[in-house]
Amino acid sequence: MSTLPGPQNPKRQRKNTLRIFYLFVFLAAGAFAAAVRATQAVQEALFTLGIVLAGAGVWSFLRFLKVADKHQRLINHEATSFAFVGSLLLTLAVGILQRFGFLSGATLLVPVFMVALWSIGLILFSWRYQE
Amino acid sequence: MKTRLRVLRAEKEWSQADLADAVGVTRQCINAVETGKYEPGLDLAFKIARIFGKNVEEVFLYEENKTSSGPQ
Repeated sequence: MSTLPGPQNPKRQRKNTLRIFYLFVFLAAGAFAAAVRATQAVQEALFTLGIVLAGAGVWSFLRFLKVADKHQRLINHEATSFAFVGSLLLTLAVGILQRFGFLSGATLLVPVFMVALWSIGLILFSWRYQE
Repeated sequence: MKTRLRVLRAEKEWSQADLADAVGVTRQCINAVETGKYEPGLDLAFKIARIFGKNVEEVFLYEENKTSSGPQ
C-alpha cells in the first residue's frame, strides 16, 4: 500500500463552522422566544441580542460556505433552494392566517423554520449522493 | 463521464476517506464521483489525477453524448 500525501483537508473546520452556525441559530431563537414573553424593559435588550446572534449565525454560515468544497456547495445550494421555497409557502400561509386573526407573532418563527427546512434539505440532498 | 477512480484507488489500497483527505474534499464527494453521481470540476479532477501520478484522461473518460449530432 502506497502512502498518500499528508491531509490538507479542513474537514474539522467544516464541522466546527456548522456547529457554530447551529449554536448561534439556537441562541438567537432562544433570545427571540424569551423576548416575546419578557417585560417591555427587557424585551428590547433581548431583541437586540437576538439580532446580534442571528448576525453571528449569518457570519458563521458564510464561513461554512467558504470552507466547503464544490460538492458540498452544490448540496447546500439545493438545500437552500428547498428552504427558500418552503419558507415562501410558509410565509404565505402565516400571512393568510394572520389576516384572519390567527398566529399573531408567528412571523418570528419563519427564520427558525427556514433553518429547519435548510437542515432537512441538507440531509435529503446528501442522501442523493449516497451509494 | 466515466471514471477509473475506484480501480486506481483499489490498486493503491487507499480508502475513500484517505483520498478525500489528500485532495481536500469530503469522503461523500469521492463516493459521488466514483458512482458517477457527481462530476468533479477541473481543479478536483487534476488534483485526483496528480495524486495517482496520471493524466486526467487516464482517470476520467469523457464520453460523447450519443444524442448529440456533433459539429455541423
